[in-house]
Amino acid sequence: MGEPTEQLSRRKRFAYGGESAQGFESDHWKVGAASVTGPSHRASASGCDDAAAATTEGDWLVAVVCDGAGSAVHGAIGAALAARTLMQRISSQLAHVAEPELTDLDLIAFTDEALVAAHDCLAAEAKRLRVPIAALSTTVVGVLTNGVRGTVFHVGDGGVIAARAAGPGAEISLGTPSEYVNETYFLTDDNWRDSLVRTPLGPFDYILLMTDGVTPLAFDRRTINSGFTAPVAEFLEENPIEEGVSALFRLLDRDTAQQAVSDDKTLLWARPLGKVAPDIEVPGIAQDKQPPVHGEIDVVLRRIIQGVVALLALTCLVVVRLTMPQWPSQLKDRSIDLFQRALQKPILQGDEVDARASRLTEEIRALSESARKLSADFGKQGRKAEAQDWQYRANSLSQPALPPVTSDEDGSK
Amino acid sequence: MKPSRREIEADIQNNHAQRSPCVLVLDTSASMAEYGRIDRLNDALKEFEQIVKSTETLRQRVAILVVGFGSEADYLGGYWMSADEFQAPMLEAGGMTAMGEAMKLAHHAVEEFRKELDKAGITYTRPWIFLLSDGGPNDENWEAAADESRRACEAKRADVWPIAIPPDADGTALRRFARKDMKVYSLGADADFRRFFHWLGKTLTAVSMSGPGDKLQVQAPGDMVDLEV
Repeated sequence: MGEPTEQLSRRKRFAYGGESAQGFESDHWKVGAASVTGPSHRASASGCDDAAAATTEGDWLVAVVCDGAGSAVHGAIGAALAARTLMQRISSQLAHVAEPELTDLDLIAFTDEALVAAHDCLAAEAKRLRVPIAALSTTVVGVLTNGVRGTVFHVGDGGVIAARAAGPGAEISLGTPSEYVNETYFLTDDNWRDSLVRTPLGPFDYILLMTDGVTPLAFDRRTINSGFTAPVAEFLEENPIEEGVSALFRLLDRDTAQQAVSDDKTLLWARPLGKVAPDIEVPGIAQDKQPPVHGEIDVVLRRIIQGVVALLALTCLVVVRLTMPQWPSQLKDRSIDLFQRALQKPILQGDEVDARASRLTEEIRALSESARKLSADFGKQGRKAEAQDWQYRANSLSQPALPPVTSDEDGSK
Repeated sequence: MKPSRREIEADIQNNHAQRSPCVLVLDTSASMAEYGRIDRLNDALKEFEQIVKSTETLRQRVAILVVGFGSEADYLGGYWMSADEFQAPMLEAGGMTAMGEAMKLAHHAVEEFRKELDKAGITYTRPWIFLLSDGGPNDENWEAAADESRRACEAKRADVWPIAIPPDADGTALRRFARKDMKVYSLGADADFRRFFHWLGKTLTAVSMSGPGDKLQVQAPGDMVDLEV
């Protein structure tokens, strides 16, 4: 307990149920999530009933967190199944759209279809388990967005904050209104459509999705408690995602947090990368529909910028490749490194790539081994937290390579 | 080498008070003196006081109100009290059974408390009203009060739990105060108040700790008799 039980995924997607901390960085998004078991579920040894899933498809992010009803026998299954199904359904629909420019209607249609599919999936699973569908009760907090516009789809409680660092405030969703703190609505309800709350999104710097175990920390009634949200967002932005979600996990598991709210806690953070959110006035309190014309202007602008940047990069590349044989080797290494970082693509060729790969594999293996030894040393000294920490790092490093299907080429189709 | 494990310096507030309002509407009519029932109820109430005071979550989260009814109905031992402040009132048996009046007071108090909590931004669980009686209502207009009580329950303003004290409790009348699908529970032939209040302490603990979706954890008083009416 107290540390993520599952390893970080290096895929550009994750889907998990229960206690975990996962994240990834794609060309367009940096995403991380952590879930901890709340003390009330620890007391009854029932485990964490929250789940989370996220994936990217080009510019677009699909992210979902679900809270399985602690009282429902299979709430944890319901949450994990719903999160995974929603993510898969929406992303596969995105993959089938030739044009990346989706209309607002598409966004609604995609998420709607996925919600119906997820509900049906839960009904089928309930039938298989020979239990009523209420035994799989789960809430849904989901988002489909490209960082400039999008839609939040929300059944039951939990919360969403789409925040801008500067300018007018954030857009929030607090889900289906419920008078009593221990009562809410579920995707498994027959009339879940009545409980569905949609919030259109404008441009944002980062977005937070949370289950109701975190809303009391992130909100003070309906006001955002930025003393909590801002440091979280800042930390995740500034640190490697593995470190970020690991720290997020520890934050949610901290005694003060666990004492403040006894429920399971899940917080998912996502930030669009490599694009400057256009300076559009976002309607402050009124959450009216985003005027579509803004979105289009933004897209055109983005395309132009992308084109110019690509052209510049290409020119530089040609110049460098032509003159490189004459460069001193130190300068050569440095510039290669620089270009790799700038373009996030290896410009090594043929044997060079293989050689570097095997060298890196060796280095990683050695690092993992060192981390494991360090963990053992900490363990011997009785410093459990550090031992766990290093064990975790060792495990993360020793993860096997990915199958070729989920290549890093994720968003660049 | 000490690993540099950096932490997120986030501000965690712990002012998210949550309340579970609980009203005990207790019959103190003359018949309660029979078989020493009023004494046993007083003893059980004292024990309940100890239970709620010795349980951390209950102390912080449960708000208690007692309404007694004989010929007249009244709040006993004070208005809404936190479990911490709660002191079991000494009940005396006497008079008729002004149940309708008592339930009006209970619902009125619930609505006042709701306003107060809303104003303070404190979240709460659905208010519970436990109606314990060894007879049936005989005050004027009790039927109108019962209808009103049922309407409030159907509108989810509160949940009324009808609890029958044997042998002469009028289960049918008790149920009229509650939601249609609510069962009437009997304390059993031995009118075991202690068992009831122990169950209540345990159930309130579960409820006061519950987050959304945990509502199904609220279980019927299992060891009490489910009364056919």
